Amino acid sequence: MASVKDPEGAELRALAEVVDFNGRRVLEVGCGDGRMVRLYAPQAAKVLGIDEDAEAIAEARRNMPRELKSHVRFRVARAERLRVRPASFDIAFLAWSL
Amino acid sequence: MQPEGVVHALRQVHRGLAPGGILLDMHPTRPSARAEVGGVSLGDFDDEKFWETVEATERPLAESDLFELEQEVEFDYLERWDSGKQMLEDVKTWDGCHVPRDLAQRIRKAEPPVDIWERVVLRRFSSRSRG
Repeated sequence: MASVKDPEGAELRALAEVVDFNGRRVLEVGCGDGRMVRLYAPQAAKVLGIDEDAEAIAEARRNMPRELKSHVRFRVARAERLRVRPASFDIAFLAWSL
Repeated sequence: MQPEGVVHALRQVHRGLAPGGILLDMHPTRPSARAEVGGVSLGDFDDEKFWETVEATERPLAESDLFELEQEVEFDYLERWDSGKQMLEDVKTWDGCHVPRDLAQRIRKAEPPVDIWERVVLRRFSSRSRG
């Protein structure tokens, strides 16, 4: 069985201390299976999660709750070759990814 | 990611951010990760190689003229396994992390759940405007 990550919710508390995701357009680099995305996406206006690991992105898509699918997208991509429209995000998040 | 890759990635991220945009960088920081059972330490992992990678990859961001550090918080992050054997299998896949033999033995014999605690840093940077 897989491990339980952050059962005490420390990540979300720390994030709430430094940023407000409410209504923001978020780019997450190295999103893996979308675990972090699922934490803040309910507040965000739009989320794009990228990761070079195609299996992780497939899992992220599978795991995304239906109510978030309208504004959350995932893409297989490397950060250094990222192609997004200029000035199209308010927050970029490097979560355990550099 | 190699440091040169980080530089390219930061340029792309900066380009994608709107004026006044925010960059968040979150990753483990020292001290080393620690295994615990029921709040009692089983020992520390040997992750010196991991710290070398972390420090090499965070340097381009610290030195970048694209972003300015605004805020930094640290917190303790818990990951919990219901099997010490499974934990050891998972840790094998962690870059730059070695489990000392005596620690591995203690983890195998431990009564689950078995925890790993890591110190994590979260930094908030503001995106500097393009010249």
